[in-house]
Amino acid sequence: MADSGELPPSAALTTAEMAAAVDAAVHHRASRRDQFATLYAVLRANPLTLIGFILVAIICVTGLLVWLVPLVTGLVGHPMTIVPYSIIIPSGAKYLGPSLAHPFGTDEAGRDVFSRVLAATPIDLSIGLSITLFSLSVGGVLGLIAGFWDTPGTVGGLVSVVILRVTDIFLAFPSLVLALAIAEVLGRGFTVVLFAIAATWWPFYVRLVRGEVLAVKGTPYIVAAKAAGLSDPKILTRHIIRNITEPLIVYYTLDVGSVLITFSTITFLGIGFTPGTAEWGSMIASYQADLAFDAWPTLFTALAVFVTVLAFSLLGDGLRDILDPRSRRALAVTAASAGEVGRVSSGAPT
Amino acid sequence: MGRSLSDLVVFIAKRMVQLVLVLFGAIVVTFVVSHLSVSNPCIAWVGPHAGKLAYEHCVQFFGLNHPIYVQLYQYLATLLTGNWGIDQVNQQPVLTLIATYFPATLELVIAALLLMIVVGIPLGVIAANSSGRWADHLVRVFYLSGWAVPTYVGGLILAILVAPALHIAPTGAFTGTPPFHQYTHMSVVDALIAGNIPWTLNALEHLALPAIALAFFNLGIATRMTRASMLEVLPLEYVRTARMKGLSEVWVLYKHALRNALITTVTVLGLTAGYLLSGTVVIEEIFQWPGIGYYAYQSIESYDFTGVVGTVIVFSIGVVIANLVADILYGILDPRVEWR
Repeated sequence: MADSGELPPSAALTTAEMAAAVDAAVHHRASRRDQFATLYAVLRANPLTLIGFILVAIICVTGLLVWLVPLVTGLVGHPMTIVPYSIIIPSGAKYLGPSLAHPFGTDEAGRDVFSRVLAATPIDLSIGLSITLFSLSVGGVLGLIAGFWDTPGTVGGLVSVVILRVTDIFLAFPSLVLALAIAEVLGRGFTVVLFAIAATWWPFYVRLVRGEVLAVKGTPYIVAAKAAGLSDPKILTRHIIRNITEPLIVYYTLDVGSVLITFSTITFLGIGFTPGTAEWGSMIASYQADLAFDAWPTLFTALAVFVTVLAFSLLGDGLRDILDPRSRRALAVTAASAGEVGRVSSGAPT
Repeated sequence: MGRSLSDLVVFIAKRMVQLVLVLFGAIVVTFVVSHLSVSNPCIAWVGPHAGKLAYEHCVQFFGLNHPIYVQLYQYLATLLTGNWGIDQVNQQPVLTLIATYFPATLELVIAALLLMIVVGIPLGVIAANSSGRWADHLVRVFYLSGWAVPTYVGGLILAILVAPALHIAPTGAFTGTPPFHQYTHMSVVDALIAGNIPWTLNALEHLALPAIALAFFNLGIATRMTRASMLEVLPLEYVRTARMKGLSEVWVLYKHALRNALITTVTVLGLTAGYLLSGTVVIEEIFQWPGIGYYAYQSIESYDFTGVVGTVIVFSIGVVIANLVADILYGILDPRVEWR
């Protein structure tokens, strides 16, 4: 893949250096340890992606701990929690500013805002992750079918037309309005909001997956696989799915943030949880009345949403650059991690 | 298939048929969803102190005692005659209400789109031109922050913290009726038509914050698309040639490179316009902007089915039309595209 002939002629290299560079390039995927080294180099070259990656890790671990620690310690018999104060009972004076005891201050009832923000993390995070996963599964399967068996005049063609038309209807839907309407009509509650968002979220994935399948389907190696007599399900699972996962990972990562924003918007508008629940959207809704004279509770809760969405966006945006083979910079960066060859080629102007 | 005018007409006609199908589906789904689970909206409509007679009259009058498919059929039949039903809360035809609310939303969306274009596209060019360097990272942080600030938080901060500090009108509601004839129901346009400069400035002031709040959230789309397509265009031969000819950097970037990079950006912006429309629900609620999103939220709150279905129809038409416009623009900008 990288013989010495591809090196820029301007680069002044000794034969030994060239040999080392070629060797490094050829063998850079040799071991697992080297793979991690590559990942590390790529992340280091994209500081924002690294920040996003670290933030996502911290947020996920925090969410897990807040959820798991009381559960596990409860089984042992000594329930403990990492949330410092109660989220219901006041733990100080009202409207305290940020301090060491109350990093985010206290709210209109004297409750510790930091504890409430912390306690809400697993709820909001799991909703962001689960709705996107649901949409990816439902939309992904429908998109695979619509993209793979789309020959007009066959049963598959008919099915894919039906799938696409239904998808179009849901795509044209104002998802927020429908979600609000569903939630308002079915009553206020956690599952209702989940159902409402899930109902409007999957169509994006049908379009995305179908588009990717159509793009991959025409490539020579799929045609070759067909000519070699491979069955459709085998082509689908072994060749197509493997080649469309990268854009899906990118989209999924970015989408976690969008779901989180939509979800908290619905709860902010007052549909979803009963007032007083520790959930970011409902918390901001209840704090906004005091925004003019005590902005801390609103701002810190908003900061939690902001940091979480930003973390997933940074990660997704960076993954796009790293995974998308067309991005020149990503190529240069990946090459740079491969050793000496990269040091030469990354000098090329972007 | 080609690029002649007749091809374009056929293309649009095909899309119109699709529009009808999409609308039909949207109406059915919304109608069924909004009618299924509330046991009886008349309880809310007649009020807590109404007698049994008034309640039964209400049920009779709106045909709520019929099965849902009969209700749906009746609704669709009246819809076809141009009667979108009566809003139960305002006691006015839904269509009339939509006609008064919609222009305000359109004005808001157009203002937000303009902001996205004027700010977002140059940022994308700057980011692409300094790809991988600090300016690129800064721009990326900027547009990702816009994306990560929920619209309601941005709106709240603008309305409650920023507006008083800058002495800007925090809400879209005018204090009085504009002293001019309302041709379009868009405050800025009407004031301009009337030739009244102070009123135009006043209207712009009211428009500024909601438009910024709406645009900031979506700024990333314009920037991200422009950056990505500029990155594809910049290494091409013709850009290098333009640079070699000694053209100024600004001219090369904005005249030569951007012209081709804009194709995807315009398409994506067109697609976004439809979603901006429904994104106005929160913004209009916060800024008290008298638009369709505000009306939609009020209808949902008061179990006003005709209002909900009516606004969903408008939103769906908006999305489909925006998609159509995006496709047509794409064809105009890219001479290789054929109308199909």
